[in-house]
Amino acid sequence: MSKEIPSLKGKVAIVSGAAQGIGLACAKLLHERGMRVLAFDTNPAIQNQDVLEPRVADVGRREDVESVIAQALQLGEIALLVNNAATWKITPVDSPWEQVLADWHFIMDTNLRGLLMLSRSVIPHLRANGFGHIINMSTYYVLPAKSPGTNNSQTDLYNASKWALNGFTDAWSKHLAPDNIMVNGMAMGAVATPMLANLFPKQTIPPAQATMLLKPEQIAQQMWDIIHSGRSGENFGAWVGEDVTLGTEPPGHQKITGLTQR
Amino acid sequence: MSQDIFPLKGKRAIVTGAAVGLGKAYASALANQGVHLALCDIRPELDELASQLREHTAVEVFAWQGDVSDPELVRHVVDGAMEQLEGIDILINNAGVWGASQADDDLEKSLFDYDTIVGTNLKGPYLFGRAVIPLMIEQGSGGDIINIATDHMVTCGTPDNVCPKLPSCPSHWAEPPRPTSGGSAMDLYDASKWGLNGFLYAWAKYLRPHNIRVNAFCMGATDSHMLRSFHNYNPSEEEVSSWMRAEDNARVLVELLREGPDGRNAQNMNFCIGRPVQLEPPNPIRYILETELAQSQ
Repeated sequence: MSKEIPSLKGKVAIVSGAAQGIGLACAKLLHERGMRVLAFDTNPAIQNQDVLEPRVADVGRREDVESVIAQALQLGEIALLVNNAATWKITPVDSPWEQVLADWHFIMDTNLRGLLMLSRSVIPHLRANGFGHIINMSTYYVLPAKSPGTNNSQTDLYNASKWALNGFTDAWSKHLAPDNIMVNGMAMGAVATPMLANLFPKQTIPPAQATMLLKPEQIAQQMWDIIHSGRSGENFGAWVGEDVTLGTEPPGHQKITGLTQR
Repeated sequence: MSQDIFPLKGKRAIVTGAAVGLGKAYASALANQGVHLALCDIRPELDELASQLREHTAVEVFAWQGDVSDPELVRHVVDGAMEQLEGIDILINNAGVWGASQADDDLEKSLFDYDTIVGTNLKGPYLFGRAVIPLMIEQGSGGDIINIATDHMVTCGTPDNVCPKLPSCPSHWAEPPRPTSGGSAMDLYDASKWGLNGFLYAWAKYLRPHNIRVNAFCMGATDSHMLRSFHNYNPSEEEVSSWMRAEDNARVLVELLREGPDGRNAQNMNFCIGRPVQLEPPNPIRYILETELAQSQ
């Protein structure tokens, strides 16, 4: 790429939802590549990741977000935010009213409001440094369908929370471009993670299916490649059964929508 | 096309944000078609519209003042509609607010904006949808849900020979749409409207077997209270003359509803300035396979 990407070595990365799955794989990769990784999660298992800078914190709670930022600033210069923490839940369209109200907060307080709080808190520091990256973890639901089952009819709130991130990725990439801050979304298909395993009996993905799924490490590597691509304002797809690559950079609007035809 | 098969007379609609702009035009057009109305708006002017419609049309009109992000208001309107109109056939999730917000806003402002913008534009449609859907399913007579979104998220695929005012339009139908008009200074507004896609596709798939359609209008610049507020309520005549008319969009809404249960579904229909405001042929649905909307599913 034409623009030189400053080295991330020794700089600070913040990864939300880092106790397992994609978040953990990203945190480990960033650590291996020499970043100081503030890895937080509501799950206390995060504390076992002692090569990282682990912290028990909830992205949906303002005081937790503030304490994460304070710790990150003590570690050094923040250069990367991986907005990975998310909740997922079956939210049937004909649920009773009390459930309707509770489900809104269960999904949105983390996936949208929490992500907003963490990002708003990090962005001034990236701007001050004149450089940085933000990765918004999304879903392949926001890219054109290649198979049945996308935009699951049983998870309307989860779907909405991820679609909404398009607004952030698009607007932030434009607003922050002059500050050399790149903002991208990652739109992956089914990845072999504990979140997915919870859908199966005994919380175990059957081996035959597990071999087909994307691996968290593939997503982490794709994230690393995105950061070094110089590209911004784009939803990068990753598909089960296909190589995980960045593909060629699409023009304009297609970066977010993935649409190549009307 | 199906005007005689699916007359709207006697049907019952909820229109949110009905006091001004598009909502007012929708409510008026529906009343003229003989659709009974349950209206709400945060603005007190709603009462005036309700009185006018009662006076000049033959339909029943009920109105509630309140905030669509407030679950109590939603229950008042939906339960009130069931009680007074004995059913709900149409839900128009129109209420929306605009506000400037951007990546480096401070946290305090952002949390306030989240409550107002995401609360009104995303939580409101969610609450109304989820309150109405179980009742529509139980009624068993189908229905229509229409969410009002923005051309910031879905852009026009109309070739430039049809809309010459936009140089970034494609030159023929097979080309991709023009770039998003979403900018950098409305991130929460854009997020709230993009989020509606989550409801569009999930609801359309879930509700197809119940003959309930879900569609969205992705609105470009329309002469409305919201757009006039961008211009400090003092837009130039030239500016105003370039905008679409809310009444024209309301006419398209009526045409869409008249398609009946076998009409288009899961569509983001784009309306942008410089092109005719009309019901176009359905677009391909790119984000779910169209086979998933088959009746037998």
